[in-house]
Amino acid sequence: MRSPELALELRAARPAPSPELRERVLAVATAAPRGGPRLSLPSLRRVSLAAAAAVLVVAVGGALVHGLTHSGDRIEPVRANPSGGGAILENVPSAATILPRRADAVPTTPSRLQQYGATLRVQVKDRDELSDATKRAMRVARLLGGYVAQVRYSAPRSGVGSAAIVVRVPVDRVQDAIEEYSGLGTLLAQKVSITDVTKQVQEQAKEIARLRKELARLVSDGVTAAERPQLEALRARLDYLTKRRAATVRRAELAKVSLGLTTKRKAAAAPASRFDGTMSDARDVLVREAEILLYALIVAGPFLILGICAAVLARAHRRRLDERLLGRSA
Amino acid sequence: MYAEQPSFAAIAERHLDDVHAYLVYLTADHSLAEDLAVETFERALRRWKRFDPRRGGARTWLCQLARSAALDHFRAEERRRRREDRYAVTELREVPPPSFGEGLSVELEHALAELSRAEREVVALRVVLELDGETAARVLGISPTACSTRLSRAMQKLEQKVSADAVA
Repeated sequence: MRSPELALELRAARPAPSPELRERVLAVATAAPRGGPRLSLPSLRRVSLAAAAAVLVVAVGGALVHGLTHSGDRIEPVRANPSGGGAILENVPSAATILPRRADAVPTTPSRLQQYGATLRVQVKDRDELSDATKRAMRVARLLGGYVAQVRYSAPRSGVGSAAIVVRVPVDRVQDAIEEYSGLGTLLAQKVSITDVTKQVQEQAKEIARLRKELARLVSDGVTAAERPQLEALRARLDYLTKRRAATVRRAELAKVSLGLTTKRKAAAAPASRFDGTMSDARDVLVREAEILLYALIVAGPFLILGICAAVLARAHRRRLDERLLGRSA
Repeated sequence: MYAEQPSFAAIAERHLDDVHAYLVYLTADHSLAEDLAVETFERALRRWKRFDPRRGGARTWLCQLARSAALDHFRAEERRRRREDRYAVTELREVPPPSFGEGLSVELEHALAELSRAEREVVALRVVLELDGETAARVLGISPTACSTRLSRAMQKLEQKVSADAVA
């Protein structure tokens, strides 16, 4: 007998379930709820994929959120620091564009005698600009009716070039000087100090007037040999006070402006933008997460491999047993 | 989309014959096959909500459950046999002669009884239930090629045994 004939006979004599079995199975089946499966639970593979995707999204999202919340433009706030007898305002901006120049300069008070000092730090692009800016700063001082008190210039071939210039300009032109110097490059820092010396000069004037009056009285009365030392002391004191008052007034008439010029560092050519900061912080967080994951894998890896090996071996053993059971005829 | 699926009772009624026939061939015991068929549908009922028609037909799924139930039974029997051997329990149990269906020739009945369970189940799936090679292989957990080879050998054995019995 050939296989097709065997197959025909096997199909023709197909075993049929007894009515009792049919009743038993239908009794079981009718206990089922009506309708088909409305919701099928996701498979383990799908759950694993979804969990992996969720972990990835949380990791990257968390890194981005951390980057957004922790990266700013890193601009330090403008602050006022009064100290000593005068008012001091210090601004430390990271970019000149956010600093309104004219508003930063403290205006002088023409009716008062004030010693005005300003310190500026300006960044220029390269050595050529440093040279030009230094020359321009000196020229501006002279144009404003002042003079250059000190200049120190350094422009090495490699590294950062710098120049320090101290100028004295009439106090009523100091605003112009500050504005001009601020425009030489990127303003990095600005410091202004004002010391009011009006009262000091007035007291010196009173003392000078009193000394002159006393000297006039002694000279008019005739100076005796005993009074001569007293007369000399009064004259010396008058001379000292007169010079000191003149110096104080002169200092109040000319403001001292210190200008520091530097070239840009190559690594810090441009301040980092907020986007760059965000990306940098996010990258740091992702690297940290990867480190933690790697650490966890290193620690749990051997156990994981052992577990997988045990599961594979158990499955192979079970399969072999099944094959042995199915290899029997009955 | 799932609301259009037939009810479990309809599925059970439609595929009971197939599941029963498969189990008869696998166990070579009508009584055991009936018990395992009930066990199969009970398992199917418990897992009915997890059944996804997109991953295979109901008949394939039920045959897989039937095979799993039969293997569990064989393992339990094996354990029981070992236990009895260990404690030297000799129980003479009446084993009914194998029967695979009404109308089969005696030679074919004998030949089927001499096949292994693995060979009989592939004959049941591919010949009696007329499943295609891929579906049968999925039920058996083997590759379609292995399934085809196993069927070929089983049919060859059947031919030889039937011919030998006929000559005798």
